[in-house]
Amino acid sequence: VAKGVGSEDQSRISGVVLIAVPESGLESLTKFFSGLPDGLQAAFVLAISGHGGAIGGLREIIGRTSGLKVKPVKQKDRLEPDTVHILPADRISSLKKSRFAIEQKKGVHKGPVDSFLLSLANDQGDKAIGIILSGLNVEGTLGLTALKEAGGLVLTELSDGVSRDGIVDHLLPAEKISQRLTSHLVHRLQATIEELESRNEELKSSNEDHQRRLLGKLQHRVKNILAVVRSLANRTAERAENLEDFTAHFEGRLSAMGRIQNIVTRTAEGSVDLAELVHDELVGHVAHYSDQVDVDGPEIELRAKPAQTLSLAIHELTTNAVKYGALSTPSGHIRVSWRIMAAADNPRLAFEWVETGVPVIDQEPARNGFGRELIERGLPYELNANTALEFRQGGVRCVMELPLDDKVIVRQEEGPDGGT
Amino acid sequence: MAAHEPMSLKDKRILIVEDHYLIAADLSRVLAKLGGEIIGPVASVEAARAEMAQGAVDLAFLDINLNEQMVFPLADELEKRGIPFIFATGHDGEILPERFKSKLRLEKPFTVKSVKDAVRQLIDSG
Repeated sequence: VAKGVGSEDQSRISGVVLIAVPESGLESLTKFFSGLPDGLQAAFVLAISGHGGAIGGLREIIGRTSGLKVKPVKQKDRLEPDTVHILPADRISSLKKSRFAIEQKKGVHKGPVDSFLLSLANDQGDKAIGIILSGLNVEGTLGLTALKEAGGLVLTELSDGVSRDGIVDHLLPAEKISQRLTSHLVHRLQATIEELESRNEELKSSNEDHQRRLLGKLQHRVKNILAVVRSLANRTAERAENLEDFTAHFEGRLSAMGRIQNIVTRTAEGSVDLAELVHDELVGHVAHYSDQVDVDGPEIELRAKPAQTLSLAIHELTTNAVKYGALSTPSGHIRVSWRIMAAADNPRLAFEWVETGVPVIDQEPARNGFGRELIERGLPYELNANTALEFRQGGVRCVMELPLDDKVIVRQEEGPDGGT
Repeated sequence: MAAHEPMSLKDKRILIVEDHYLIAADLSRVLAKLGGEIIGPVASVEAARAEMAQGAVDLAFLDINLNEQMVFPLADELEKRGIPFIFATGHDGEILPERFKSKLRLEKPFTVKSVKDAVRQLIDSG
């Protein structure tokens, strides 16, 4: 795997080719460049030994024989595709993260070609390619060995008289070197394209999986809702006195489910704010309920299932209040409040609905058996809630205690006005 | 029992595992009308095990997804004990592990007829 692939531009580079050539080898260089096709996406680095620094002639040769850009290397230059970077003479140059570093020669450790090849091998791995044109004599053997070990390719010209057995991949005439290099780079580009395509395929199929899972979840939700609606219809019918009575009750319950679906589907995880849930239910029945109702409690987030169950229960309490309770008389009042019961082993949300000012109350109303069943049996069953519903002098009192868990979540400890 | 005879679940002890109260209550009523004795209903695998420890169960209706907990371990236990069961589900068959793909399914939302048909098939195959 190639190292030093930083930006998008760098990953587009198919290979980094160091070409080492003596000043006397310009003929080989011309042959090499004239054999290269356009658009290989390789970055070329040219090291000319004995080169005085004037690149006017080189620029002309390369420009005439190939479509490549020519750039004398400056400190911190980045490798660019389809560009020939010309290393400065009498300096030690290296590559780090695809950028050039130039320093003064210090001592006599390694030659400039070996130094650069070592950093090239280290920085670019199997993306590195070393080409020695014309006789360079001894310099380069050390660097080419490192490049070979890093998985790079080494090509040298026939006329390079130095024996580099076991290092050189191909010993060829200059024009054949460009052919060999071309096929190597084209092969690498194809491999890159194939890898990108397979990655793209993986991405596509994982997206499809994701969509299938989402659709499965949605299907499950919809079918469950239909089953709940079926049950609602049956239960409402059992208790209805006539068709008109059935329609009124059933529509009310269906609307309550519709309202909660609206809020639940607004967020991906299906979250509902408890205060909003209470508000939506009340305002669905009494446009200006605020004169008669106080709502207060800390910020609580409910997930879809507790939200659905709780909203149906609140719907039943509200319709009862509108027909027979606190909202049926101007003297009536409801206090809806909730607080956290912070027992360490069993933290709970205590929700309370207390009606006052109702002059006459049926102590054991039979008519609203469904709401009672939902509160006394449905909530304990679905939400592990403890509930109590009393029809007492002055109005209804309902207490529902829900365990705080990953579906009933405290968002803010105190209500806006200090909580209860 | 042959398919054309009037079907009765008389004296059959039927375990219902379903996390929605209203659906569980609905299914309980339908099965009770067919003569069954309802065990539960319960909303979790643990609660189902507790019921099974209390007494015999002749057949079971299993919702697949119980508050994000899958019912399959319970299905394996029922299988081991030779107790017939039906998956009552809103999912199509795709979510079922290979070993349960051939099992009876009751599609939600069910009707009295679809519950009867499922029970009849279960009894016939047993």
